[in-house]
Amino acid sequence: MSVVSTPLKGERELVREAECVPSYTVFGLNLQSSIPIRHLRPAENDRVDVRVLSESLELPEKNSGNWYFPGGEGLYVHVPGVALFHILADRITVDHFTETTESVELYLTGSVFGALLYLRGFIPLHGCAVKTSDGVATFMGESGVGKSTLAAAFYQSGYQLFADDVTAVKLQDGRFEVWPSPHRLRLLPETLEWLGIQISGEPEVLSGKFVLDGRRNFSQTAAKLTGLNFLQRGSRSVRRLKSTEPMLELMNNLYRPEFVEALGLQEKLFTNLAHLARMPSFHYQVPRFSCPYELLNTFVGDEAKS
Amino acid sequence: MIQDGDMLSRPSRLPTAQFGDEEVFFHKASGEYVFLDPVAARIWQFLKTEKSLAQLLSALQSEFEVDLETCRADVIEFLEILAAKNLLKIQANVST
Repeated sequence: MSVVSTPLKGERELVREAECVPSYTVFGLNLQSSIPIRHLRPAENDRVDVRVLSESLELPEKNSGNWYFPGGEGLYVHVPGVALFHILADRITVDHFTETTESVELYLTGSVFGALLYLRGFIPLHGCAVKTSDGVATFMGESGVGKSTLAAAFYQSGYQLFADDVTAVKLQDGRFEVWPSPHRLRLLPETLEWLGIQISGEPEVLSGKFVLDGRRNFSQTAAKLTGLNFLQRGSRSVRRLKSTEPMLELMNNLYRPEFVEALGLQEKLFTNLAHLARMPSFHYQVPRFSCPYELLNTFVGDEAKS
Repeated sequence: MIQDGDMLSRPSRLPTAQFGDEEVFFHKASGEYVFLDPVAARIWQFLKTEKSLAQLLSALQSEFEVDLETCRADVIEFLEILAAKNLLKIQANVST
């Protein structure tokens, strides 16, 4: 005698739905998304931390008029002509106004992931992160200082990357860990040329940057953060930061710092930053038009010395 | 204007982080992170317990090489910034 178990109709539908919806892993979180997202690894288990749903949203009547505003224990991000996003710690709702998936994905994996990181207790730093012999080092600095170029130089030289633009840091069991960001490098045509990287396809319409799939050399797991490096234009020099300097630099190099107040997370972030600011921190002044590989050697040279 | 006999103190229980002789604290009302240099940090530490302006100036003069008039002017300027941010409790000395 055989027993055939037939799921109820609702259950069957749920199974089918789960099968159709791709699951990804990013920042150590499993995302089940009804929207395809490039440059994320497939999830390795069934756990779902965050659901990404494509649904219509009402723009709340009471809003600041800004492109972002708080709502329902989370944040709304409104990009006219592209999408309205609502971000909660376990759910991202996307109401897109365009069929151009590229621009929706650009904001989803940028600002929206930034808000998600704050909501999940991460510190999102605006900079790249690379594995060195004693842990992960992050490189931050103002726009145009060469963070992505440096990330690409590390990548091309066989170093393992954790992030090219936004580094996800989290305090866990008394230590700061870096979790892998989407495995991509977004680079301007001149940077690609400078680094000798050939790439086919078209650049992003909004940024003019080419997107390089970095899966080959991106970390799949978290690793301990061991150094904070702040890049600045200037004549070549290195200085270790002291007292409150790392704290101030960290505040200046947060990704989307404007979200912190909107989410009411200033006090929690203060405690985290005050802890993170105890980590060895350095100011690197780098001349304009430094060769990226030469720049990389500056850090590798330091690493060999330590 | 703050007088010599005025009793001064600062709010307790502010999230604070000390880095060597400097300090940073979070001021919830304004949402600001306030950075204090070594001298400001020292004044801030002294104000943990209630002190008169005269006591504060005397304590600072024993630690820093500064004449009384400069000390008084700089300290009052700093105290007024704190007061404007609602970070200083001033109890006027009724006897003066």
